[in-house]
Amino acid sequence: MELLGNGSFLIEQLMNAIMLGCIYTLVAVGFSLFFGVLDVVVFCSGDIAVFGTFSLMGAYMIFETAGLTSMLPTPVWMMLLMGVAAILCAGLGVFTYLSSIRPFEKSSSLMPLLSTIALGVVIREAIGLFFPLGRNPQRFPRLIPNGSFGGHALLSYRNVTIICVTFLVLLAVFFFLRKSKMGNAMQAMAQNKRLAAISGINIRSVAITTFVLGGLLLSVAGFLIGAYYGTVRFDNGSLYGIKGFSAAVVGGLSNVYGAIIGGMLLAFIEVFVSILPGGAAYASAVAFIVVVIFMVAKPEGILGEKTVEKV
Amino acid sequence: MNRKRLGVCLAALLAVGTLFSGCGKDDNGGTPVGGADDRPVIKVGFMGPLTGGNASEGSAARNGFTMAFDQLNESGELPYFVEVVAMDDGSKPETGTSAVQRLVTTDGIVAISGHWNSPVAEATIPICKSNNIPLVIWGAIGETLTSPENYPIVTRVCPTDRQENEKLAKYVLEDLGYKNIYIISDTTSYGQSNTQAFREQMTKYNANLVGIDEVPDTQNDFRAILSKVKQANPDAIFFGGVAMGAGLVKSQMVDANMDDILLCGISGICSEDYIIAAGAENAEGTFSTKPGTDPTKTEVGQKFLADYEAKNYSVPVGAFTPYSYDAAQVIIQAMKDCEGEITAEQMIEKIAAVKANGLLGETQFDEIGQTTNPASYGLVVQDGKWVPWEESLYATGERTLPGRK
Amino acid sequence: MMNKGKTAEKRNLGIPLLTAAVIWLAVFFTLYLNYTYSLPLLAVIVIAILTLEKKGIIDRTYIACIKERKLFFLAVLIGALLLPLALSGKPYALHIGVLVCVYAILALGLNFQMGSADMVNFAPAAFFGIGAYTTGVLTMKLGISPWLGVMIAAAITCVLGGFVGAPTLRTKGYYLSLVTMALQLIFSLVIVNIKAVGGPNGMPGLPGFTIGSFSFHQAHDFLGLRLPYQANYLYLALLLLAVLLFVAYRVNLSSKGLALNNIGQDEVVAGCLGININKEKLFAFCIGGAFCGIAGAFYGHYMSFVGPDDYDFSKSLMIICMVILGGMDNPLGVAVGAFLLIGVNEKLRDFADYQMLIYGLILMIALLLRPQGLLPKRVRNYELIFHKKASISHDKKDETVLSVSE
Repeated sequence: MELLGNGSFLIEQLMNAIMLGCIYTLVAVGFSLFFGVLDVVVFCSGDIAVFGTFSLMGAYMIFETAGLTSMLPTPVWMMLLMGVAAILCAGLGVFTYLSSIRPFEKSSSLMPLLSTIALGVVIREAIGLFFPLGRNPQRFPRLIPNGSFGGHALLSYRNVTIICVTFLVLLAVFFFLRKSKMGNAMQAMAQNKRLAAISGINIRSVAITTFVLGGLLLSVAGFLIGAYYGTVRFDNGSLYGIKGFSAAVVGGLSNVYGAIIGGMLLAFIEVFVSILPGGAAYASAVAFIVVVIFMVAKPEGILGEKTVEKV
Repeated sequence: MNRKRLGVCLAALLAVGTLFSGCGKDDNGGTPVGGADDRPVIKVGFMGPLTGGNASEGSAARNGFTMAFDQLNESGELPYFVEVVAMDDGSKPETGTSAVQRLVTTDGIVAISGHWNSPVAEATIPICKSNNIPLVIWGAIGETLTSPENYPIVTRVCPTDRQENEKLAKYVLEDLGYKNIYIISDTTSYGQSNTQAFREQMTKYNANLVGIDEVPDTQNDFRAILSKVKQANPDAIFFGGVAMGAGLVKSQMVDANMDDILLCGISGICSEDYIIAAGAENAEGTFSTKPGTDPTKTEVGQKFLADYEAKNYSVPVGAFTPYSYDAAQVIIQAMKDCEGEITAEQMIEKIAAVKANGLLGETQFDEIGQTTNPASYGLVVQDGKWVPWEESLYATGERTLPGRK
Repeated sequence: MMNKGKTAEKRNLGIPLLTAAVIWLAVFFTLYLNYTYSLPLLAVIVIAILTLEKKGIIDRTYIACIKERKLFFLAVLIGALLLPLALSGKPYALHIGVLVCVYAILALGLNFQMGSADMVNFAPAAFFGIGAYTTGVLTMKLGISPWLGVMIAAAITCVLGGFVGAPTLRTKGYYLSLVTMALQLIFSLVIVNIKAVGGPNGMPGLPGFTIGSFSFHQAHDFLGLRLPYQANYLYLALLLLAVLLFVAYRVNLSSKGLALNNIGQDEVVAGCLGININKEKLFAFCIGGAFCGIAGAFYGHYMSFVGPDDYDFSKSLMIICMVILGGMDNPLGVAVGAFLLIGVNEKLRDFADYQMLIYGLILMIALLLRPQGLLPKRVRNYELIFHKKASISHDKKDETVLSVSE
């Protein structure tokens, strides 16, 4: 009995880690996508995700007051809700590109980093100021029904939805990158911008598509954040931003697959450190220490390619 | 061309600035509300977190404080017009220091009320002391803030963390008979001092500490810890932190099917924010204490709530709003006690010796400046509202608190 | 230009005096006035700097001031002596003055890494904090003098700078940013868990500086004026800033500064030129760390409080912004950046709710419109600085960084 108890304890923690990993992964994939294609770190990615959460909540409030939630069948208004959040996030993504990335194409790589940090502050504060009672914690509406498959707590509808959504979204991203023309253009740009331009790829439209795609991805991350925690606050974005960035770097910044490994790794470290006695206070710190060790020992990340400086 | 663009942008920024200066005034309580008045003006300062994570608690307290002085000015009981100068301390010692520096050098300031965060109070107290301006603490509960060294400059109208936890422990450990406790707290000074104070009480009542965890206050994910809690199988979780964290813990407890464990904590979690953060249906059966007495019970309390409502403030009454209101009452009473001109020097003396009637009954200070009025009462969440324990369906036995056999 | 250069040889005394007067008056009024006036004033200062910079007047003034440097420094010194006296009625203004000096020192420290060598260090606030905590522990637990505390804090942060710098030698660009960012976060997360330094409560009651029986923490009467204790600290802070600004300037002018620039521009080329890249990078981290440590220790004693909340990630961002806004690799520029940002920050306290939003917007706009900073870096004019008698008759464009080899 004791042994079995321990077994289910570990499985539960494994589940916790996977769920956390899903959220980190989506944000990290956003980072990798931006970095891979355009060589920039979009530091406000976490804030865009939280913006997605808030736009879902805002849209839900409007839908509810307008009576749409009772008028339309559930799947329809859910899709509409997601659509609204996705469009807003994609728009914010494009705005990020136009305001903080494009003007710095020719300057030092530091500039877009700082500019997106500043934009992150602006997004965060704007949510806090302009969302009704935005500085207080907000309750995310229950979009996924309570209950679970087979009555097992681990297989609750929410957990299963989160894992499935993450999986499907990642799958969609990979197919897009692999099979579609635009996806190929992105990969070409990631390999060599100049050559891509010479080959007739419209760099501008590829860049904008990247940010639209990233915005969509982050809106899904926002949905997961809301659904998983149930409660969000306007300033949560910076946390996810830093965690997502760390995950992306650990995995290898320019490699989208690496982001998954990095996200999961970070989540597992956090979860398993916090179950040690007294470990919870150090969970994030340990995760960051691992990041530092990684950076020093293997700066290119787990899946990143070692770049050799050529003269 | 570039310069032109720059000029336009700067002009726009300036315009925005002027715009803000318009709305900044009425929003921050910086200007008197009573309008033109030929009485001489004296000023009192208010400091609290008006931005950042604790902004809602701080803003509510500011509203309560300003309201008290608005009422005073309207009543015309003093031959002075009292202006409230409210400053943000951002929950950060550095910001608090800047705020207090500005306050102590504002002309005509005679007293300051301040702070929700103990570290901020630690940083500002030396400045109040060196400038001889009395500081009435309305919300920081760190025990060491009131001390023989700080008396009589520093006084406090709210209970210390120890006093609040004593009361909570009496309810939870003695009256309700919970035995196995798991402590989760944040790593802020508030969380740490709560943990310490509650642990002392646990030894006193012979309760078992089955586990303890401290988390950074930015933590959102308590699931790993909750799995651990489940393993340790306590009857109750003591949460030493504030509303957001407690709300996350509670809603995640419900997700993890931990319906048979009580969540309790002192006034930091006792606010509307907690119920929003946890979700009304999840929050059910959370136990907390609130300092003071139940304002809905007394006449002054009802009047206070009605007045607050009437002002249409954007934030609801918080757990410490009655205290900021009472801090104002203490200052007002001391002003009335002053002979001749009201000065900061005189106020120090008068505040220390004050007997003020407020929401929480009569406030007096003991030999280190701590209020002798430490009353607090238990509350429980019932149908999405904090209900005084004695009136709740739980006390009558119609419902049972989680984890109670 | 040529004509100006020649007439300047006839000892132009007016310009240095005027410059010093304008600088100190601007500083005085920004600190003294209420936000209604000082925010527009700050905007005017920014516009003035931009216009003067564009017209080349700043360069000419600089040359004129350097040529008459004795007079100029004397005027600046007099201004520095007068400023705390003029502000004596406003301790809050004095307090902002002290903060400006502290942040200017921090920005100077970061400038060695970020400005000179283009290595973004996201952890200056951690060094700031370590400096404060070091002297806090030493003076309160061991009872040593605050002066010694500052020195030991500087030494420790210098060594720690080396430790932080060592692993970062292997990393570059974004990776370096992440490592330093992670270190900053680790610092914040760990310091609240160390009970010996007060954990989340911090350590109150750090002693103030004293010289003999003169206590910096007390108000003193001077010439019939009652000087609040902040005035003492402002004198001290100005002195500290002056010394460190001088050090930063000399480092910037030295071969170290050139080597760091070279590394920042192209590491491979720097290596080929025989620059010991690792050594120079470590040097930048060590000296930068020491600057931040000194600022932290001074700040700790000034506030007589050290707590974890003051040294977090957002503080690092603020210091980074100062360097960028002021002008990378220009010590004077980053000091101006610190002055402007602290000024805006303190004055925006009146709009507490909008403060961060405005701050973010200012940064975005500044980066968009003036990415090189208000006072961008200059070509080093060695002839002017080291050969007093030499005429400055050549065109600036002929001069390159490496033409100093005479």
